[in-house]
Amino acid sequence: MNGNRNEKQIYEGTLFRFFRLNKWSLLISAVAIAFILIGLLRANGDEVKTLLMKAINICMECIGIG
Amino acid sequence: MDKKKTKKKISHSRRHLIQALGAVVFNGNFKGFISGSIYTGNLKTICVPVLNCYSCPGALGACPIGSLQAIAGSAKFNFSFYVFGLIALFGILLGRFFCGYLCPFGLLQDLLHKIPTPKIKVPAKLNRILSFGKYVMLIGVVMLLPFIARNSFGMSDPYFCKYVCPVGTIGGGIPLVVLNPAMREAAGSLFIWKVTLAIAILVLSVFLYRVFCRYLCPLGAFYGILQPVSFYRFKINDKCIDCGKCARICKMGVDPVKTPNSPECIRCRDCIHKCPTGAIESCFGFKPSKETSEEESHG
Repeated sequence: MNGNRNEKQIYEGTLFRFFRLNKWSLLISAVAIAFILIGLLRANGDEVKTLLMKAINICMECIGIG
Repeated sequence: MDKKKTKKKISHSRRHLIQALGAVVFNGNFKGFISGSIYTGNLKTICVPVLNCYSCPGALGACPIGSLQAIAGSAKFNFSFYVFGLIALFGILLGRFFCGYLCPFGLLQDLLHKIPTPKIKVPAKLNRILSFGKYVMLIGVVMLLPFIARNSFGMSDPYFCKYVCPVGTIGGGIPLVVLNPAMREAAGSLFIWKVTLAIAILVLSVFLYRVFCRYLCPLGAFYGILQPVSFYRFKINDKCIDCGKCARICKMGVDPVKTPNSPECIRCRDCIHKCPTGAIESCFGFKPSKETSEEESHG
């Protein structure tokens, strides 16, 4: 009973320390994931379609020709 | 050869092997190099975490900087949430680890720097000033210029790719011009400028370690900004004897004791292997160093 309680406390302590040490990383990760989702859903996925259209055609400017 | 030197050599070879594997995986469309065409599948909706031109005949994914500019320069969108989010996610997970371990252009510069010639050591102050170049590229050329310099159709050129990026010239331009007769005919003064710039960067890389990564790469700048808060971090523990060996071995001009998570560090881990006491630790968010744990337990 006591052992279980200690384990729980250690687990909660580790978790709390992890969140405390990585608060900025976690916040930025959440914002990044939100941005990805917005990009995927934006204008019925047109943002990703625009990216695909650019990426599957040779970009003349990128290679120094256009 | 002593044990320490052998360990360092193995670590270097392992890093170069991973870099080479990364280059092969990101450029796995081998038939493109024979036919002189590019891959057109759905994988191109995914950005790779390194600078790898999507117009390279071998490229399987999209270049994040090229994509960011392509969408910002399109008539429909001014900003790409998707690409920005992906780059931010890569950066927050591993910081500039991608520069040190996965970037194909980084590998090319690493190999060129191995050519036995006298090497240039840039004074710290000048190095710091020149390092701002990559932030100018990121904020000025990649992010702001597409907003400012738009044509009458509301579109803009991918200015960084068009005028600066040597990766597009080496990975895409030169192979396509060699393999594709139509491209050969279209190549003009812009191509000459880009080839000249790419050659200049490659020649400089022989004498100066990772000149492009240090002073020009916008993706490195982005990852560098996120590096101090990324999950993958370096920490100095209480074993440090302040011998300064880590700062002397660092080819990027970083002093790991002062700034273990400096935006300039490409995570090559040379400092970790050089440290005589094992005072530099790397961890992925979960494992706090002794010092941090003690600090926390005290308050």
